[in-house]
Amino acid sequence: MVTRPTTPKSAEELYEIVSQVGEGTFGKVYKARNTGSGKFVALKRIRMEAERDGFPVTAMREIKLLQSLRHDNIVRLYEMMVSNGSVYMVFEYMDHDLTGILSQNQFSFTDAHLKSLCRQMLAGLAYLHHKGVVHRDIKGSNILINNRGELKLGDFGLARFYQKRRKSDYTNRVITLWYRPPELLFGTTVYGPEVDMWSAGCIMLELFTKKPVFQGNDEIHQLDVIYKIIGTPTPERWPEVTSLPWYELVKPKEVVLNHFRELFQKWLSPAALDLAEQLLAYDPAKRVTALQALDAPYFTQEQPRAEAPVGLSTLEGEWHELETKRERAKKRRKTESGT
Amino acid sequence: MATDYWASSHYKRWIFDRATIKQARALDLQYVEDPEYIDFLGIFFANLISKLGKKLSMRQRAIATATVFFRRFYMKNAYCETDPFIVIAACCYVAAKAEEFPVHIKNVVTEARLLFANDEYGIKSFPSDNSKLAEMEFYLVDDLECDLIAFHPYRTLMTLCGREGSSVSHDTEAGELGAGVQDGPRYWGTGEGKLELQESALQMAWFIINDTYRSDLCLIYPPHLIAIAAIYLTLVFHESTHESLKSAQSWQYTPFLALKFKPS
Repeated sequence: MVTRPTTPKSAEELYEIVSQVGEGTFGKVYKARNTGSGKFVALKRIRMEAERDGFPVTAMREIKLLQSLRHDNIVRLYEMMVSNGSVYMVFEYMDHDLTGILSQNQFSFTDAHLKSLCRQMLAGLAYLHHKGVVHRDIKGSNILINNRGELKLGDFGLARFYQKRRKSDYTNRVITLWYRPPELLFGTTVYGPEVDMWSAGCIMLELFTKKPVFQGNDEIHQLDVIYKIIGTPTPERWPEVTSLPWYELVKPKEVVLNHFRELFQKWLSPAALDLAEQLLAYDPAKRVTALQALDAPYFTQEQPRAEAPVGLSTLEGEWHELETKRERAKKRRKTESGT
Repeated sequence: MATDYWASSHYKRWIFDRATIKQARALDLQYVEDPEYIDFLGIFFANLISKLGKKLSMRQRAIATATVFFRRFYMKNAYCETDPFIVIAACCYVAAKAEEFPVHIKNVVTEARLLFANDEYGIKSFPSDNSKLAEMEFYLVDDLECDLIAFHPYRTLMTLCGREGSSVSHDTEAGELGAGVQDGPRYWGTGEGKLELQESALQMAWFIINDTYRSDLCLIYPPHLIAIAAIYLTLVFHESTHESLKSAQSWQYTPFLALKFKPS
């Protein structure tokens, strides 16, 4: 007979689901306990039954990508598991996500902690981009943090390999609106890792302000919100903007000046402001790369030095966007019924 | 580094010795008079995958991946216990997705039915229902243990011999693993130290690699070794290349003197 490596136990037997912790691009994410070792993992179930076309191509892409990535700041895919007509991705368990952890008040982050989180995010991105991968969905709920203060990028459902030497044509319907860079809002389909760097800039500000900075309702409004903060793009700041596909449709109606530094100086140190400004450069060609960002004076010169928020282990509960959303909905219901 | 071959599941889990490969065919062997027929079947199925792949306008690398998936699947299953025709369709379908060149499931079903039903094969039983193919895809991905990455000799060939403007389609495609990734100093892939092959010789090496998929070689040897062997065979068989090597009198040493290394 054929000798085949057999999976000793099915997913149900091996892992015991504890709770739901998130909603990925293509399926629910659960916290589960390995019944053998007692260790926690995150199980991401790939929904197959709803897929008339079989195995979702996004899931296939995520599996392929994660199998070929290994870095301290990228979530580890331990293994794949097939059970009862479902495919599960088994990840290392992360206690919190950024959106969740910024919404709690028990543990307050010092500037050194925030610097560490920012640095870890950039290190993950530098590795990804070095490997020729664009994430395309950097946002608070995809940035995972554990109680040891380690930050890891997760959810690669929209990520893909890109050509380093030649920029290809991709879809511009990527990245959650609030973190979407202006060139995508102007309709470009030719882009590279710079799109992640804009999102990283948004996240960096969010670390300090505790909430997303560019909260648009739709694509047009999103641009307006950006203009209000960093001003409208001028030919000096971004020469190619006028040649982008949707420029004529969505171009700014009036000139707005850049208020970035005055708006954020109460939150960020001068070197942090410099870096955030470079990450949020209009012109993708001038936007700082992850590798350059890691070398910014904010990390190399300005005090305090980065320090991982190891104290998170004292934090009660686990903080994910999902729970934060539920909590908010509960509160809303309460206040509504109260009035 | 996991984008490299040595860290991949391809190397770690899907390279076998000949005895193991023979063992995988044990059940099928009971149904054939001559063990060689098993090899013929392998050729037959590889040709079918290639035909179906071309009908779906899949690129050569995606067809190669489909063939690798097919051979991996039959390391765990027997021809006589499965329907190789639906396995072939599923392999093409999964490989197309895995290589970032997705085709619609309906197209795969239609093309497979058309191809398999023609007089040459006479298979009329291929299910017209998409869900049957989707189901097979699920079992396939399961038996492949979700290892959807296959390395191919084409990349080594083009890295060593590729040229700008060559008619051989060698562009690394979007979605190819680690395309354009350079880890640390090395000169291969930098354009330095290329083996200067004539266009037709390069073509021949490419075709030799295509032919290797008709055998179990992709389960036995690492892809770069297969590429080197294909280059070697080309130097021997490609007439004008062979002639020029001879006249350069370097033949008495080794054809690899033709490699013009310029270490940077």
